[in-house]
Amino acid sequence: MKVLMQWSSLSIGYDKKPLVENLDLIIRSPEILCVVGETGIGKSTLLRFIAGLQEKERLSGTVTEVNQIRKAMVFQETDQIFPWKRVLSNVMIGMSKTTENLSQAKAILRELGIEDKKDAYPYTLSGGQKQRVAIARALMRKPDLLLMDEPFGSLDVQNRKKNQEILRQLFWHHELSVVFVTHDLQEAIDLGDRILLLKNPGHHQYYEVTDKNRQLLLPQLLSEMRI
Amino acid sequence: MNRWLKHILVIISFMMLWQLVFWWGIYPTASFPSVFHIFRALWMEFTQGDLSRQLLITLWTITKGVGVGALLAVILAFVWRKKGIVGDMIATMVSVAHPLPGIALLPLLILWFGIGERVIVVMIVHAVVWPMLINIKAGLDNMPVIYHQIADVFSLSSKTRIFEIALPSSLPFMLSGLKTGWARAWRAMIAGEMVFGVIGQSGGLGTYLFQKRVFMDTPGLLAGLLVIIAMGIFVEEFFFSFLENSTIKRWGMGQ
Repeated sequence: MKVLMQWSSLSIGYDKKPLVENLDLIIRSPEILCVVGETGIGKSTLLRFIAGLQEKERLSGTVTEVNQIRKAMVFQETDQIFPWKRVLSNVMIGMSKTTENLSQAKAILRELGIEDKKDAYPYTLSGGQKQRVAIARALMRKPDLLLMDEPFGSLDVQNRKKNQEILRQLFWHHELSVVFVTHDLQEAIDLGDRILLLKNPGHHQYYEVTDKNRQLLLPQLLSEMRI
Repeated sequence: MNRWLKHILVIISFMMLWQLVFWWGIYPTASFPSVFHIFRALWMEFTQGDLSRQLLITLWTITKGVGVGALLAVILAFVWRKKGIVGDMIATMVSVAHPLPGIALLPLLILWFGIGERVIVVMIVHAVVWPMLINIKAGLDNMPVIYHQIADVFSLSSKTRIFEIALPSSLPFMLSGLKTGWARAWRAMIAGEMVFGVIGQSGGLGTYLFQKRVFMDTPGLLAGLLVIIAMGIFVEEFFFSFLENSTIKRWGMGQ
């Protein structure tokens, strides 16, 4: 497993107040790294920072990226899909409509189980399907690093389970590195290869998820969060 | 009861009332013709007179004016979004020019551009550009933050950002600005044409109305008014509905 991106002593925050402090962040390829922690602890800020959306919030730290890595992001909001574009156009936004790109987009939609919706307008889709369109749009960029900000947070349990399953299959197929922010510890355990628990500024911890410790992690994480 | 049925019933009642007043005979026939005279004049003007030609002139002129005004509004709205002196200048220009009725500009426009269709087009551009500009700017300002973030994360080009995200996203605002602009333009247009009718220049429905008054052709005059009303209703009720149904309603956007 190679290292895709590495941060040393990273501090980010607003108005010089650190939200995340002194974090050594390594992203491997491939892996799913789930970031958990209480609301307002800085999970989304960290993710948006990695995406390059909040560069000015960096207080200190150095980065080592392996070459120039391609990043793509899936947001939490279901309205991240443009309502005036049909599903296929949403997936292909900003890309030339070559035969190759078109067939790739259709293949990704097929993989996500929404190929039959390629000509539909987003308002006809369910929340779960919209999130899958967002994932398809991200995958079209052939990203090295896929950033996901509670993408299934607003879905009902059934849809969430289904999307998690699909994500896991995609992960294997595309050999992705995923940073997945969630407030749901069970989701992090089910999906993640590693879990980063953010506690207070300067306090965070990594957990490797293995088949052996999968059952035991939930109580451990819960008790850690309370400390 | 169906909305349109209600409208039609009210119109029929109004025509019956009109006809009753005519039969009562308190006004001279020359200035208060019967409903039948008015509709006969309408038919004659369309088939033998030049009402259809005048209507086409009016529609063509207003289409040009609204087209130029809308395009100008879109460009100015994007310039306005840029911070700095140019944006401030546009903001001031909007507050100064927006409340000014187009017809008040006419004397000045005649001095600058002479007499003719060009002046009316400029007046329509003035009527359309400010309300549309204000609305498009509001649309751009209200664009969800997430759209900006998506454009950043996916490194979308400026062309894609403008034509595939910013403009469609502000379309509900744009259409509402176009409606206001149209209403202002339609009124300014008829008024302007009428002024030019006085000096025997130009054409269009306003000129037509003025000529009918000169020749005391009251049924023809009322026929012209009916056409103006019908056009107004057509554009506001059908044309704008068509635009909305084929865009924002089709996309489930609403307002």
